[in-house]
Amino acid sequence: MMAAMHDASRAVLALTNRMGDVGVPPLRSSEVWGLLDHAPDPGALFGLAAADLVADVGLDPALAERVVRLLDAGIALAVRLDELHRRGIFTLTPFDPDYPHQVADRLGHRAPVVLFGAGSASLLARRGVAALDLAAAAPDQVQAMVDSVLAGDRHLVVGGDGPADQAALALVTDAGGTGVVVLADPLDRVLADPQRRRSVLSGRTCWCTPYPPDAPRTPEGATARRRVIAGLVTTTLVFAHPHDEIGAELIDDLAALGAVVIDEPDADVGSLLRPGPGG
Amino acid sequence: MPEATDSALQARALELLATLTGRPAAAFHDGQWEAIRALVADRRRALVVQRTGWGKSAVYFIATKLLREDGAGPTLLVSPLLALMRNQIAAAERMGVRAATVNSSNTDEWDEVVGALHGGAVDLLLVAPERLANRRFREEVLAAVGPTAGMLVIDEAHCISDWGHDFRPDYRRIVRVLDLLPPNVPVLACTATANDRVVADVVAQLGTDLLVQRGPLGRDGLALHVLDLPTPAERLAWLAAAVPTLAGTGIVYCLTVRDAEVVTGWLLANDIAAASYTGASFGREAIEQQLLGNDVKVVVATSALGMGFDKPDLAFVVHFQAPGTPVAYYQQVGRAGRQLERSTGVLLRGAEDADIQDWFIARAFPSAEEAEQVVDILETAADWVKLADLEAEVNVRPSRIELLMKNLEVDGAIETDGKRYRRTLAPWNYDAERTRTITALRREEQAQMLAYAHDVSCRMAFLRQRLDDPAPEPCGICDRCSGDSLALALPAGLRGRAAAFLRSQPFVIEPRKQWADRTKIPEAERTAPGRALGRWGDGAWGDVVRESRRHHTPLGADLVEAAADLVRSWQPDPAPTWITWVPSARHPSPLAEAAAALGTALGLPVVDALAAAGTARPQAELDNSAQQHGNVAGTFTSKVALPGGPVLLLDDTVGSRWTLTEAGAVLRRAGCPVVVPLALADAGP
Repeated sequence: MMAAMHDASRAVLALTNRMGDVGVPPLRSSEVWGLLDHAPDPGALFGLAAADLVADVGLDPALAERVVRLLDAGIALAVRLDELHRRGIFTLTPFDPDYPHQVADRLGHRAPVVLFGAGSASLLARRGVAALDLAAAAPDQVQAMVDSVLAGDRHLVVGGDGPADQAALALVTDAGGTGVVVLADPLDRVLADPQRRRSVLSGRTCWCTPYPPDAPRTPEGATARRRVIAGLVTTTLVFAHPHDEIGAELIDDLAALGAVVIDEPDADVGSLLRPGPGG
Repeated sequence: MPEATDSALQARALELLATLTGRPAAAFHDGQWEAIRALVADRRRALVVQRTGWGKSAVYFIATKLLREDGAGPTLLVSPLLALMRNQIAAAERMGVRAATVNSSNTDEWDEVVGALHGGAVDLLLVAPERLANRRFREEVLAAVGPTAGMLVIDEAHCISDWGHDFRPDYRRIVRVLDLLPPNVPVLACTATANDRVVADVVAQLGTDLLVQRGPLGRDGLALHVLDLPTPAERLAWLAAAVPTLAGTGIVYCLTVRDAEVVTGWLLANDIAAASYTGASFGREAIEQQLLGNDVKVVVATSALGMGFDKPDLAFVVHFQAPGTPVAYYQQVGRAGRQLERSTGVLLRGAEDADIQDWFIARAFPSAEEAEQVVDILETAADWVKLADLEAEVNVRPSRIELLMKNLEVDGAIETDGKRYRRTLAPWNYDAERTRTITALRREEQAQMLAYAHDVSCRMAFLRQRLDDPAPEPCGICDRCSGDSLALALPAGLRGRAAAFLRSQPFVIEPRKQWADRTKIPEAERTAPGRALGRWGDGAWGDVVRESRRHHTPLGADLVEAAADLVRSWQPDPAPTWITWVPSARHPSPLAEAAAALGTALGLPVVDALAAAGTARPQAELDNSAQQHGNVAGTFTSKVALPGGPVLLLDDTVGSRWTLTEAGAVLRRAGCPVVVPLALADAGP
């Protein structure tokens, strides 16, 4: 059962609510972060009129109107959230203890303000190693990465439900380790699979996404998801060969976050993953 | 709120009250305006604990109207019973509040309701708590409730609390929704029956910034009486003699559906206009209307006629058996005389009360073993599993498994798509401490109910104390205060007639139409409808059968003669032309002897037609269909050439009906055209 929710979390969920039409577009994450710069406790905004938000909080009138409408979603949103929580889908906002604040620290306003997920949310704040585009990795590189993760008592973060990601995750969890999957695909669809449900219930994995559980995958979503992964941990390996999907701009972006791009099948992954501070 | 605005709001609220009551000079009861103000002006949460008739519905009707006039969305009213909803809708419409309801019986009207919601033509949407778990309701109806915050009303809010006498699993959904609800949504929780512990629990769920309105709960003019009448026959006799002497119309409450039907039959047989109202009754709305219009003298009801039924001139409430808790008793007896100067509440105490209450207490929660077994199976499967497949693996009675699945679903351990179940992704552990604590509380309340009957100086004051009423004064009119008694010198022979009536009540054995795996039993293999002579532990024939079973003693000539009388009065069609019995391989059965005597009494030949191979376990130890059927499937064979014509198939008891179904199918397959089951006692749930 979920712990009692903070008003500020309720506010963030209402402001970004894509689970029902309230007549105005929900705020994007960057807009919420911008709002939080003006109003650090969004729970205090409930019940305020648009004029108050303009005068007291300094919002522009159009945004103030949207905020008021979104915060008024009330009963319908509460029932939808209850349904998610009852199914074991958690929601995390920056005001919840398990929210991985390192993502916000590293990504700034590009960090998601809501994460939906299932499994052990506490894994999100642990030290880990992320691997992107594992399909491009050589088997020896995958094994070296898994060995290093297990030896360093870190968890593995992967970016999808494809065979390469899942095979690496299974190698880790079968050996007693833990892993996080950050999805761009719909959480509901991915976790309909019995094997993955067992993995969640085992307590060894956490599956999360910045998008509502039934939201379809989009190319933009997949890109943003990669940034979230690189924001979660300080050690990210990007197996960028071939890099037909990932794109040079994103690679630069990820590299700026400290990701190591591996574009040679014989590169020594083990040496790259020797545990370091904060890793 | 500025004073001028506050005055304007109050003036408008008074206008609405005048419209609602039809009295231009109507004034608010103590606390009504304060509650409305908290909800409308301050968008706060409020808990109102006031006796029935105080006007809780006026608070939410008027608050709804005022909020709507201020541009808020519709109010969502969560209420547990349809009976309540029908009354509420009529009352709301009188005041100009446009109310609608969505429930499982009007799914074809949901689109219309959704359209009305979108068009702003609904002010108050009434739903049962289980509706909150319904996907279509969430995605279609609730979404249409609108983007602007309305009000949430939780009627009968004591159902939220684990400590409430009538805790309902579905209300736990409301608790979680409350936690997720933004603070600017006004919430009104109301109840007429909550003691300090329940109030504290509800307050904890609603939050600290809460207006609590709590008034005195005494009922002036309601004279409470208790009569110890241990046997059902004595109580039936008292009802036949006393009900015609009571002024006005009333309700007789029973603990079981079967008792409600028997009491109704008895009253009708004594020319008292009566109707039965249970969860199994058809046309319940019509029965409510009959009572409201005084077209019947009495409605004999189970707790299905419960919260929210409002008949201000109900003159009496009689309990054929004692409810399990003083608060439940107060709530039911309190329906009498809300607007009468004098009304009567009579508790008839029976010897079987404690057994029935024990049964309810023992079955209130699924056991840890049952719950963990189901969760383990679903967790291993991880995929969707049909209920029938679960039943095959878990030894839980069908009525129990429904409760078990409901509890696990509300707990968030499992989810359903309507037909199948699946483990959710949430961690779950059986809450043994909660079960222990609440069971202990129920035992304590059971003891209090015993004390109510025997150890009190004023019965109304005792009930008010149980509700933590701050001023439980002696009422002056109960049997203890006044010394009056409703004990009657019964007319000669009335008790005997009642006993004979009880013995004559048929227990119908409905033929099974499906095997345990839900495949159809072919018509050519089914039994005909049968009869049972008595009920296990009924103090009459059922006890004779129980003693015979325990000690392997003969069933006795009286019992056989009663069985023969039953067959004669029943006159099954087509009439049996021979008799056989269900053999037992477990121990020697006195049934063969009873069948022979029955054959003599009815003038029919008796044939030893069936052989039994023996079952793995006694049927009584098994709790669900799949296991019970599996235990007897294939155990019977036909051992002789059968006579032609319909057969009367005798067994000592009937419970799950699988033994009679299996033995009957063997006889049908061997060429018997009709198999008519006759059991000496019904031992079913």
